[in-house]
Amino acid sequence: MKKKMERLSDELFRPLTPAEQRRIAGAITTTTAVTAYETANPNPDFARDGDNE
Amino acid sequence: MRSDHAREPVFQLFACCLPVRGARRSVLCDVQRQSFQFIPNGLYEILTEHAGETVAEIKAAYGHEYDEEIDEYFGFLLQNEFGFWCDAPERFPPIDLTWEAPERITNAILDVDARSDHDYARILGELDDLGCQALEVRCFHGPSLAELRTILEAARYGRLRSIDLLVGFHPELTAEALARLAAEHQRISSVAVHSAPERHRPPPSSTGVTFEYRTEAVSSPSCCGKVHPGYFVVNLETFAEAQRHNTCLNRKISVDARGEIRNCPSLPRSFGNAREVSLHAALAHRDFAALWSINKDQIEVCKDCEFRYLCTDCRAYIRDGRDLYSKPSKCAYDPYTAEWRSSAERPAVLAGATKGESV
Repeated sequence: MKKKMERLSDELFRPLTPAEQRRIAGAITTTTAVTAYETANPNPDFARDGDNE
Repeated sequence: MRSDHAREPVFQLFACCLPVRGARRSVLCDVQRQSFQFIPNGLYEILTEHAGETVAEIKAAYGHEYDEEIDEYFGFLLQNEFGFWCDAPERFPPIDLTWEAPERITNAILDVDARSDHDYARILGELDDLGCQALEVRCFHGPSLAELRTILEAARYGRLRSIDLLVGFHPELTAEALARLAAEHQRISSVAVHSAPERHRPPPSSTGVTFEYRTEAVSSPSCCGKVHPGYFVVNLETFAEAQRHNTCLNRKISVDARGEIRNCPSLPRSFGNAREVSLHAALAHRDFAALWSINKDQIEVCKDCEFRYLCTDCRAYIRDGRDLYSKPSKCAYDPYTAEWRSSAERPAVLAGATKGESV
């Protein structure tokens, strides 16, 4: 028998929060691999394009 | 030509929607929209092992025990536009995940600090000869505008496509000055200023250059190598490259702050100093490309991770310095429980640090 099919409503399949996804859908379009910097804030807010927006 | 025997439609994923199985859950990556969704491994199984089967056939394969869940899965796939119903799936071949690049080097890192004595014209010229497309300049100190201009002038007539600047704060580096600099040197694609007095994100330029001021200090190469969802790259190029190559080191060359040529400034092995050895000569060393082909399917733990074709690997800071195929030490994700820990599990270890050598 095949394994158990889990429901999509399970917390395990919750999409990442907008703050977490911001960099994913953002402008990382260079042809190089992006080096990742460790900062004090592991989840920086890239939601805004500028301080005044 | 259509068969006279009309068959029931089957679900077909769009070619740009690629499922990746992890130990505890899977992801469905949309490399066109640059996004992904988590899915159960059961749905991954349906999409791969049962591809081309009708819903009735799939439900029957599971003994009708999960009919409700299977209906939910297909509703989810349609709602999120991952695919479509069709009666001729053979007309939709999978996307080609072959990765090729004509350039010998596609990307480079140039580290600079207050004591650096680089011959920028020579280094940038050699990168040009190698076909390098993207350069990341990392200044651990706060360079003046004049110093930045010296670096950028060396690239003015080259064929780099993008330059990312990471620089320490200097009073001259105001948002207006950086905007002018980006206008003067249109290869600049981003400027990040570390060690700034306050956090600040000026609006991007009209050409899309992003600016950012951070208070955190990036004082050495050891600040690099963190694995985090914010750094995932969901696109076809990375996904395809990750199938057989290292997503950080492939086709990369680096010159550290002292001029040593390395695969990555954080790796201990030097292939000579850029003042004495050309980048071409370093690249020609038989060991230079050895790390390029270490892909995530070969790395312990990563090979069971659903993010393995999205994440930027690190071979410098790894769990076990004696095992080049061990997990990045700055990754806090456990694919077996699908949980992120708040900090990395173990202190960073430099790969091969005990046997670092110059050639």
